[in-house]
Amino acid sequence: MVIIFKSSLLVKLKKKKSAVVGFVIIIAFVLAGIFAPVISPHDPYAVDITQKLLKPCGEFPLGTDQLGRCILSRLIYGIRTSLTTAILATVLMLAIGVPLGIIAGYVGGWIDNVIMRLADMASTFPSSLLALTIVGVLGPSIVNIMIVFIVLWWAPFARITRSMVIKLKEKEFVMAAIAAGSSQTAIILRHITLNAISPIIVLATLRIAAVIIHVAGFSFIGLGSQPPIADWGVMLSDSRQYLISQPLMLLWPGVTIMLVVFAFNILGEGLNAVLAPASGYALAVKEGDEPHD
Amino acid sequence: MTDQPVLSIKNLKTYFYLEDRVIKAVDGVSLDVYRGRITAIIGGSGSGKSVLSLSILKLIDNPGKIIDGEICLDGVNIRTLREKQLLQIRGNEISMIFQEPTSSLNPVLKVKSHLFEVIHTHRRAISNQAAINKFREVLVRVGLKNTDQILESYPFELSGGMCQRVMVAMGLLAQSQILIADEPTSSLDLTTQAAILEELMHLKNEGMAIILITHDLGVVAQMADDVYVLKDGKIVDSGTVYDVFASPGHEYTKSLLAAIF
Repeated sequence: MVIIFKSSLLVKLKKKKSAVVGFVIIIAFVLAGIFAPVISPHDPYAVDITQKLLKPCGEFPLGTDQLGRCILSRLIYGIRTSLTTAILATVLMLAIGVPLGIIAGYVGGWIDNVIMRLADMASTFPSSLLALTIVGVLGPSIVNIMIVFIVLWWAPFARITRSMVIKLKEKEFVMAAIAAGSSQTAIILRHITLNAISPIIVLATLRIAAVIIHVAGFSFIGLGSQPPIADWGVMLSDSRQYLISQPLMLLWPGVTIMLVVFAFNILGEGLNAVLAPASGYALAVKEGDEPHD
Repeated sequence: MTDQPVLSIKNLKTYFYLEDRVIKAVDGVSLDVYRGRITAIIGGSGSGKSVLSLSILKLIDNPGKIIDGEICLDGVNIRTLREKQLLQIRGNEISMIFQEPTSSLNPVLKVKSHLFEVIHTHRRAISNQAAINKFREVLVRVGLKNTDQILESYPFELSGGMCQRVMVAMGLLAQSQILIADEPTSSLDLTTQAAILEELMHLKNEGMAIILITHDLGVVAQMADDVYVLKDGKIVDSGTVYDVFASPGHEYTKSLLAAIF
């Protein structure tokens, strides 16, 4: 079922050129991350002070940083940190938000009220404040930053799932399934959730991009990944002191983050355009949907 | 009509409690449904036909409520049953064909999956291949050709008439005692109507009890054995189709008949 759904999705996506570009960039990044030890020219942690702050050359295609580490290798290893945190965080947001949304929408009543008020709290709580609190208590690490986003960003998933479930449970085919004697589990899973899946996929894709950029931001200000871990945010942060003497050091991680975020965003938009007409529910992913910091 | 009614409704009342008023959608309806007969319920829009049929399966949601009466299926009052026991009745004992064929099928499930769901809810031990053969058979019975292609189609790839026939096929597959058909032919062209009605006749001859809900008096005259005329939630006229059509007992029935003959 899922495989059929995916393959027909890919066929449809092909018609949307920008989404294909995004998809290809993401796949390239994922492969580079998986095969990082094979394709990186150097060990990303090998320090060699004699080779520091080199311009791009044959041996170091993107130059070296202030400790003489290969920037390209560090960028490639950074994919691992960035994408795993982003994807893991998004999967966990889904795991919390979607079931809560289903419960809120399907059961209704005071349970719905409790869940949605929690969602309101999560959406209105400033993420930087929570990040400072959690990091203050648990210490700076990328896992703690992930916790911040999971705690706050399950809310849009719950909200969108809930609204889909409320719309869907009034549909005739759900009534027909009840009349045909389908169990409640079958109705929730097959008839409601399966129909609600497309906007959730779109939102998840866009959320991955948002997590990447926010995690890099927190690593930049020193709340996330800690040196010497190869992380794009940390690399950006390191480059600040060499802004004048070696501006390329700033450029490379910046461009990389931009490229990945751009890829996820155009894939998300493409998915939205492709999935919305089929399921009949377009997702409003414009301004106002992003949580505020 | 010597044997016991399979379904007997006594003084059924389904009210909808709105903020400022109460709508008495079904207000004291009593009727009997027999095996091997088609019982037609006729009435204009808003007469409570659909609410009545949903009440039989206890599918009334807030703010609606069944406040009084009995719905006896083979002597068991459905109203007193719990949700779990109702699952046994829905689809197994009583199945239903809904009004809107295209929206009554799940858009993300193939026709095949819909038919499999009917089989699985009824816990029939049957191999997948045997099930597929059975699906082909019921689809042919409701007048669909290209059955392999239809099994692999999603509802939105089919026309309204085809969806309606798939719904009827699902009703056939359920092999329930009672089939409630809510306007089964209203969105179909005449030849398809004829095919569906013929299939309903077929089921009736096999001993199924059919409740036909419609506003089409032509269909009633042709198909029904017993007729109940519903107006404002009350039965205003009832009897065999011959009695009701030959000597209508109520002004409303007369006006209905006058409108077509």
